[in-house]
Amino acid sequence: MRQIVVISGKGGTGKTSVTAALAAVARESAAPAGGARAGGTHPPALVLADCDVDASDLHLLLAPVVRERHDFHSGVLARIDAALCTRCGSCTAACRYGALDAPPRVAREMCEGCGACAHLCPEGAVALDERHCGEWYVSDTRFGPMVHAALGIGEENSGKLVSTVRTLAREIAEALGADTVLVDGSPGVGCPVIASLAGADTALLVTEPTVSALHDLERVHALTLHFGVRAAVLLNKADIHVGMARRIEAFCAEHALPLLGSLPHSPVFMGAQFAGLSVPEFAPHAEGALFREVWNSLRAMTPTATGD
Amino acid sequence: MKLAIASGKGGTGKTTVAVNLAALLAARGHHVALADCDVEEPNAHLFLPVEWKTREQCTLPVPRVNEALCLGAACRRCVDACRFKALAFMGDAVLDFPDLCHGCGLCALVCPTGALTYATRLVGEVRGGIARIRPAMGTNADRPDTAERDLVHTEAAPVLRFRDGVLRIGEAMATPLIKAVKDVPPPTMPQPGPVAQGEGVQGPCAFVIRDCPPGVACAAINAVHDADLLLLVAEPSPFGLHDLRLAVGLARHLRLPHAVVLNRAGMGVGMGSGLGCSGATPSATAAGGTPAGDPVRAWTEREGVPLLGVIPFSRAAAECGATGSLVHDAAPEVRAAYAALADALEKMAGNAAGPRRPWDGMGLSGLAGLATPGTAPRVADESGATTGGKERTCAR
Ligand code: SF4
Ligand code: SF4
Ligand code: SF4
Ligand code: SF4
Repeated sequence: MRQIVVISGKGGTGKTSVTAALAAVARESAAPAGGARAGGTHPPALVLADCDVDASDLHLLLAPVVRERHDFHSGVLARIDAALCTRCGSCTAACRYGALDAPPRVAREMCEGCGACAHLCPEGAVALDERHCGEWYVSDTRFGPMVHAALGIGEENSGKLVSTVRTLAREIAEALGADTVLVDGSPGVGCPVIASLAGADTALLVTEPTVSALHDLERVHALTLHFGVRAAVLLNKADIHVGMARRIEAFCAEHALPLLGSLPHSPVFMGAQFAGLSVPEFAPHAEGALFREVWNSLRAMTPTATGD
Repeated sequence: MKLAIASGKGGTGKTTVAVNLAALLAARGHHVALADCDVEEPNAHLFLPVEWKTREQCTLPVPRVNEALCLGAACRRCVDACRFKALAFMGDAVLDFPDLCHGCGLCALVCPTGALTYATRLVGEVRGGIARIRPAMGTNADRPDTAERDLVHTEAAPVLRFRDGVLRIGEAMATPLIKAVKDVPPPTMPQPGPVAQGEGVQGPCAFVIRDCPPGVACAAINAVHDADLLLLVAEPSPFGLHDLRLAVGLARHLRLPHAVVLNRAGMGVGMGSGLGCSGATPSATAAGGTPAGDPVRAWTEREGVPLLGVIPFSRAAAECGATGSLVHDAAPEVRAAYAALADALEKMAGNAAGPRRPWDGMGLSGLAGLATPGTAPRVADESGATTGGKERTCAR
């Protein structure tokens, strides 16, 4: 089984649209092979994992039908029992995250759940409750099963939720005999994206010809090197600025990063978004053909080590 | 005035808005400090050739075990206390994993012998500097020669104070660095007082503009929670609307005054047919088959979220943004949109010092759950739910 993750560093480069498009072409390329049998007993081509748990958009294109819904708990949250508290101020002084004011009230957004306040409180007035951070779901989409999640507003730990989503997608793929897990990675270069890269075979770095995107491409590329994940680049909106596009190409050449394709800035992406479709479904010929090529290159780059 | 510029997701043009607005306000003679709090991807400096002045390392205290003092297996208190698995017991010694440590200090508190002292882990670097802005920028002068850059190196040029942070690759704790960056000292004013104290007459105002990390997680919250106004930059698309709803949810949750800046307006016009708008019921016009315009504008109207700026999509401006130059001179309509946004903010900042609250008279009174400017709203555990207001404003 192979695990391919789509990341971008900078937001707005079209990462989610690209993920949906790859899922669509993967589905259509798999259908003729095993799709003859009716009743859907053949293994799905792929399992999707939406690791953009902070602000996921993939569900807007894939219209998942939720089959399972699970609460996600991580860490603890301090709670002060006002009946026991003598307002001595020890907890406020100890909290290094500014999560307690005086008289002590817990600012949920700031609390890291370290437990220092509970340790210091002479009255035993601080309880540490399990912290509900969000939900994760197992759903069906027209391209295969999808694991996705929604982090509550102001919740952290997206690294852990990302790992949960990714691990589960992998387990489902193994159980169903799917040969690919396609991951819509987290944005940025921090903890969540590290969690979405873990265990991936290949990372597709979606970028655009702007200085900001090039800057971020450098950073995510460094990250893939750091974690030993093979990387390839897809240049989106390539015609926005020809000079910057050349610079991205030069960067790829210099670092031996395969450039799998260049997509024009086209209203098709926006049109597909408004229609709630993936790009190859919306425009099967022009852009769809490009995505088919990208998908084939990605598959060629990522042989299934153990499977088939 | 502390202005936090944020979005539910990256790529909406948050940095573009922050940089261009900061430059325009500085060009108008205000005292402006721009803090790029997006420490994972600090990009604002690419748009302003900054003269760097300072570089400081931002560190986190992480424990170091003094084995001579440690009681060993008989004790283990620190290992049991740490909630982040940053300490473990191996053989007969406490082993620290500084990469996992959150720097909370609990282990040293529980240690009976004082065997734990603190070393530091590098989180990132805080950089400070200034950028000189071409004074004519944003005025109604004819479009200058495009070869001319936005900066001139004369002492007379308005100066923008700049600060950002670069997170160490592989570092998971962004918040200490964000705090270090955002606590930029407010610009020094010629007269005493943090903000122009004039009554009626408006002198230069002090603006601290923060380019915040995208999203609604802890990094974003740390950057925005004590701002006077949260400007949410959104794109006119179904993804854009979905992301904006998250961001507005955050603002309401934190009880922060907030308003929307619609960026790249017009980009999706004619495509909306009421489909695929994340569970939103299609509006009557959309159902009728007429182009629905953009879903963001319709939603802000329904929800009573003020729309403080509408920046039109312009191919020329996009090209400027691609190469890292300011967009004011690229297209007159973009320049006008920024000017209108700056006007609105000037008015609010001017009022901020007076008896009126900054949103008074702005049609912003529909904002609920407001905090007094200048004080950090405490976020208690209540729901923070707000009602949509009746009034709204449109910057056009
Ligand atoms: S658990 Fe830690 S972060 Fe939370 S309030 Fe207590 S001391 Fe502060
Ligand atoms: S340490 Fe305990 S008793 Fe003292 S203020 Fe905090 S909660 Fe109250
Ligand atoms: S400072 Fe806190 S997180 Fe770090 S090792 Fe000590 S208890 Fe663990
Ligand atoms: S708490 Fe102090 S004495 Fe006890 S195991 Fe930890 S370092 Fe050693």
